Amino acid sequence: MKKVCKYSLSAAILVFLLSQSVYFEDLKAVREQRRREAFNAAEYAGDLWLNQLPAALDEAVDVNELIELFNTNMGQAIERYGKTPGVSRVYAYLLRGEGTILSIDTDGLKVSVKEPQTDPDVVIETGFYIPGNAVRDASGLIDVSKFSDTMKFNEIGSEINKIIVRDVIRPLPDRKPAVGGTIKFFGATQVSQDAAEENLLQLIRVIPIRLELE
Amino acid sequence: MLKLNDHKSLLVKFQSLLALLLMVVIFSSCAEGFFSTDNFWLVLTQVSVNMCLSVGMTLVILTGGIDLSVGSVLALSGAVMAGLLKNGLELPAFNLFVGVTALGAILTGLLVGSFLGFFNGLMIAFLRIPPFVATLAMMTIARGLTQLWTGGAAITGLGEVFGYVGTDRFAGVPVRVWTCAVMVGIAILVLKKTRFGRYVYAVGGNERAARFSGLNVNRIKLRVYTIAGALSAVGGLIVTSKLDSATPVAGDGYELDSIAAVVIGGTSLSGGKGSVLGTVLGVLIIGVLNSGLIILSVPPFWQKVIKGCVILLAVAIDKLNTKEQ
Repeated sequence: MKKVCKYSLSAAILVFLLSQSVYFEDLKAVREQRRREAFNAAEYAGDLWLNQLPAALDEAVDVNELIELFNTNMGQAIERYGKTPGVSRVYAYLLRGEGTILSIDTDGLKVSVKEPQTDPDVVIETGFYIPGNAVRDASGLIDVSKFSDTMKFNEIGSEINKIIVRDVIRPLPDRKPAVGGTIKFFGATQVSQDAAEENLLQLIRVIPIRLELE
Repeated sequence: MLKLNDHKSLLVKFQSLLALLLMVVIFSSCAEGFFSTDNFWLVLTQVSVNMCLSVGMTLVILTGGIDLSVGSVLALSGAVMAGLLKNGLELPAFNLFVGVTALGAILTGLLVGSFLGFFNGLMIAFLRIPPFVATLAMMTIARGLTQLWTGGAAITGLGEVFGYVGTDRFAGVPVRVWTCAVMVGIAILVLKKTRFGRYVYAVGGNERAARFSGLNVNRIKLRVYTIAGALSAVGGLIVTSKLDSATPVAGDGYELDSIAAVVIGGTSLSGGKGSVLGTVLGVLIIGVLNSGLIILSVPPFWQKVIKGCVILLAVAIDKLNTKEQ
């Protein structure tokens, strides 16, 4: 009798624990719901590129003003135009400018934006691999705290870079950029706040967002 | 009046406690903010995982064994809990999705930890594989399984209910402190008041004698390693719940911290001698040492050197005492 009670009690506890531990649902419905809720970095980046970034470009700083500030008052450059998603000594800037193409090589388009147009001031990156997340961070459109993990945030940066390669860099040779020609550009750059001390401001590296050749 | 020998034996008996008090006094006098309520709770919450692992490790070492797999078992148990909670189980053949609640995930994780410990026990007790080798193999197996289960990435976003153990408080005390206090309490009771506890000491003291006196040594070892596995899973629960994420590298190196705590707490590595209370002091000594060194801004590399020296000192004192006896 004692044993029966013991086993019955154990079974009852087991059934109770099991009933509180699992629940059953239709697999197709769950998969469909998950698909709807899944984060799609490519979609997110596409929407940002098409619908949000154009407006943000209105805020882009003139490259000459930015270079001037970098060399004279880095703190003010950061305060006015610099953006960073977290705590960092590297800030991203959305910029625009116009200049003369001085050379075209594997490094990109070297452009002079100041008179006399003898030395390049910026290099517009044209490689098919874009390092970093300059455009994502410079846009200031994405709040990192809204993402449950940093991987999603990084995926967005990577997807934006893919769009830039697809829509801006790959079509560029067809538009036949030429040395001596004028180029108008919108882009982003990342500069360390110690760049002046480290002598890294001779050539500002720009990730292109929009390019116009004349 | 106490004789010199009595003084000496008292000193030996309370050496861990004296060491802890000494460290508290030293750090309180030279590390600003060390002697505060906030830091007291911080130390207690920070040692909670090591406490769980070390209680299991104490049982294992008392039998004359060692368990190098506790960190990996912690990782796998935590990952299983997180994975089941987050993704559930899909049974395409039945078009069925089995969702798992926080309770279900915790129970499954504990089962996984216990099973891995049980497997260690089987290898050691029945196949006579030396504990060092068997648990070293399990350490690698469990780590690999964790990486397979997680796909090498963290499983995050486990929800508030699951986070209760790692982040919430009950009656003003962090739940994880309650959790390890309960584990410690049960372990002390089991070792002091039950037959099984006495058998654990007997096996560690002299395995041959224990066998000849009719004890089922294999079964005792099997139970001890299973308990150590289960306690590692409790550690996994605390870590995963606290971080709201299970990572494939969780618990990496924790086995050394728990062995260190047990040794500092006065448990003999050759087995048969020691106590859970000593281990609690050992864990607290490591916790206080970590906290004090961090507050004093001692560089991390030096922290490791100092911790190593403390362990060495503890073992040397233990050896000297054993020799004298």
